[in-house]
Amino acid sequence: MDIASTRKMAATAEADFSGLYQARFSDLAAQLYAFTGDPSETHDLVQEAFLRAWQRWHTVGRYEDPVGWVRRVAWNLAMSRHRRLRLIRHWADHSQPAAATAPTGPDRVVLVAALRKVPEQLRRALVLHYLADLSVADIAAETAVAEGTVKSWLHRGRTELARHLSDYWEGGSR
Amino acid sequence: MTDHDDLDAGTAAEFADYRRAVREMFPQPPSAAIFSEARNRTTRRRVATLLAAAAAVVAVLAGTVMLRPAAAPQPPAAPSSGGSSSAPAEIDGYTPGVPPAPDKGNQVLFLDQQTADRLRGMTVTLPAWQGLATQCPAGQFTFHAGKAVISGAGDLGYTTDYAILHKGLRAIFAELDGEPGDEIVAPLGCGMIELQFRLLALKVEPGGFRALGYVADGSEQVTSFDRFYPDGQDLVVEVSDGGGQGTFEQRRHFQWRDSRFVQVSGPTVFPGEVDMRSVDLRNWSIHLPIVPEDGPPCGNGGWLSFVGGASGAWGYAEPGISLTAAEYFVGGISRGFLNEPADPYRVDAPDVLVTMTCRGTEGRTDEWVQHVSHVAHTTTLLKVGVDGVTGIVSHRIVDGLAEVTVRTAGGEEVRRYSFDSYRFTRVS
Repeated sequence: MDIASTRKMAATAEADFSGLYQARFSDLAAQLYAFTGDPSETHDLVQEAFLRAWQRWHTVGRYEDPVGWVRRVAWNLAMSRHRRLRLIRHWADHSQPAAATAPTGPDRVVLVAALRKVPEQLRRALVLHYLADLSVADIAAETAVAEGTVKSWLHRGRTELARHLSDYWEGGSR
Repeated sequence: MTDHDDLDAGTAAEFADYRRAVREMFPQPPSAAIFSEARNRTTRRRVATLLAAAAAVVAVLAGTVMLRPAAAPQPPAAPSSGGSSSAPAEIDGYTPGVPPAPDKGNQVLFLDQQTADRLRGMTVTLPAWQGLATQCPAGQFTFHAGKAVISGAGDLGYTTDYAILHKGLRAIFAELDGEPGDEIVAPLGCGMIELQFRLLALKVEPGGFRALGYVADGSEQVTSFDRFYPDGQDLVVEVSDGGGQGTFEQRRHFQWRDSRFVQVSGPTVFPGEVDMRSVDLRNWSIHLPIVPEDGPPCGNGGWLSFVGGASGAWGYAEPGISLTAAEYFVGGISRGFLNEPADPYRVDAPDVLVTMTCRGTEGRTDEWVQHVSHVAHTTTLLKVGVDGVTGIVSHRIVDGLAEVTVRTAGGEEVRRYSFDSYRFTRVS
């Protein structure tokens, strides 16, 4: 292959990747933020996932759903970081009284705050279903569990989320 | 419409509102930034590989053995044929009876309650955070109940604060500057909803505190840390790059020199992607999940950075309950590929099994087999004291299954387990 052809291929790859990046970065960040509740961490996670996609673009770019690969990497990173934070949260649970007042602010903050009270697996299922628009079967495949487990997660997740949201509204913070 | 449908519709509406509102929070940086960082990482990896190769040559010429090959960044793992492949298992016989070397990190002097209360109400002049000088600025701040407001509530309705001794985080006394008087090392948080933390050193002075500076000031890619403790003239900090495929923890040594902290030994950079097949887990790090039913200290979970197969962890900071620390030891290690559901994203994912021992300060000992994934996720396979297991003899990965030889009241027996990325299920 001559130099001109190589350069053309590289330019095409960059254009393809940039298109995906610009179209999906914000959506993916919205998903991860709902899970982590941390805007700066979310930004780093999504950027890192896209970076890894670009480093393997010769392979990832040929996938039918490259954004699925990026989403999976971003979630792996998020789960890994999240496990690290558990220790501090566990300490908080044991050493601090519960917050006396509900969070205030825009709806998005209230939803994120309520989601953070939902157990990790249930929260992940909710976000994948309602923000990533994955079906029960897709979530089951992505998380390597049976569809019945996902249905159970979603049902329990909805119930838990509704209860926590209700707590906030009744706290008069909306 | 059923209650179930109502709940589904209500949840969908909440997320739809959220989706519309939140996308604007995350404008993407230019894709050129991705391309640039990718080129930088490639360059760094090449340099690291060359340095490692050069070091190996020097070691061979000197007739020495490199004891910590994993300390150097590793090139990315070579893809295998798939998650269902089976690689030859490396079997590393279990080596019980780890010598009881005292762990300096668990012999620290934590702040007494009176000093902690003074710290939570101190007025102190803080230096700015390197790289975050706008959000976490220099200036004099007065803390109330451990918090000092940096700026008022913005769009999100939260203030930006400095926070000291946040949510039970511990602080210690230490001698850092060689001059009379105590110093304190404490995690200082800064942020709005989620806090970031740096390690602040303070001099105890009559009537108050004086900030000496930040131990890890943010220029070292450090995003979080666990234990920190004096070791001779050094302050050892167990630091982490915060997560991801290269997630792990290191011990770095700092000293107070010429009015600032400088790193004097230990690794200075984090490696990029890690091939778990070549990692020396006895000189690596593991994150253990919290197992509440095991109780403290061995069920506390958290990051452990191992040196020579030993590590330690601080216990809880519960008011009125004395601290229960624990020491951890790495025993036998085996590697291979566990059969997992077909997954195109796990093609280069070797699995590691490791025998772990935990010894609490009150003498209790726990022992179990831990699975460590390629992204450093950990799952407990089996535990002594559960399901009739009285001891662990050995383990290996063979034909896609985890195989553990255990001791029971009836003698030794071999148990096999499948793995679904989340839990192990006994199959024989």
